[in-house]
Amino acid sequence: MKVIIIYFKFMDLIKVKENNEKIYKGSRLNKEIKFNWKEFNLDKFFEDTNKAGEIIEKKEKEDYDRG
Amino acid sequence: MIEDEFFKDKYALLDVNILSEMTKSKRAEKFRSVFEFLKNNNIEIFLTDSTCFEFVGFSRNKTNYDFLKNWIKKFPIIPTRENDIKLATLISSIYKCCHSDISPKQISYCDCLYAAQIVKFEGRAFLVTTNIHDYPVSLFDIKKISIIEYDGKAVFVAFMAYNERKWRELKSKFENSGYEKTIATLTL
Repeated sequence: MKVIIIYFKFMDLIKVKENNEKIYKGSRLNKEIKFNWKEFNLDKFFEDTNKAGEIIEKKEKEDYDRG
Repeated sequence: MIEDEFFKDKYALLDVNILSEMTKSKRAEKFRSVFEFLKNNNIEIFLTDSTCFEFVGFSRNKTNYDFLKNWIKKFPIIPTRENDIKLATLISSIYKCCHSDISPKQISYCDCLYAAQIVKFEGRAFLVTTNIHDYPVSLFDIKKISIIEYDGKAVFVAFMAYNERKWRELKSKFENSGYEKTIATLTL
């Protein structure tokens, strides 16, 4: 009985090792990265990017003026 | 086009410098050609948490922080894992070993983490950057360059890809480095 339990535990360990290697080799790319161009509005993205730029520049200008 | 075949259905990691260049320009739409290229080739964009750290780090107050954090969330952000850090450390040492003229101060931790992602995902992901010097061509291939012009300034957007042969050669060169000196010292 003990031998069987040890065997299964050993097999589990091998499985975990294999999974980790698989994950590291990049199979998780399509699981982890969910980027859908259909849901991505390019014009809105550019608009928001320009807004982010204004925020950064405004803050930098304030800091510069303050010396 | 042959080069487009290479990119089709792959993953693109955006370096923080392209995000920064787009925001600084305040003419982000000038970069439309880059994004249309990615879209037309069904390339999925992703960032890493180090990109997030570098980019959101531009903020100097909570309002900016919240805005930039929400903005960056438009892209999937993958976490840095222990193995990524190990690989980034190895890459940093390989750079120094193969480019003796390079100062350790010139090597950025975040750039090495980006490089680690590209090496890790082998041919499935490539990097989009505005600074080719951060990623030596002794290790990566420049697969494509787009030139963006604004305010009389030209920004070069490079698409850098993993090259297995280069990686193996540099890694092997690194693994065998230092031994000659050790043997010579032992002989003395």
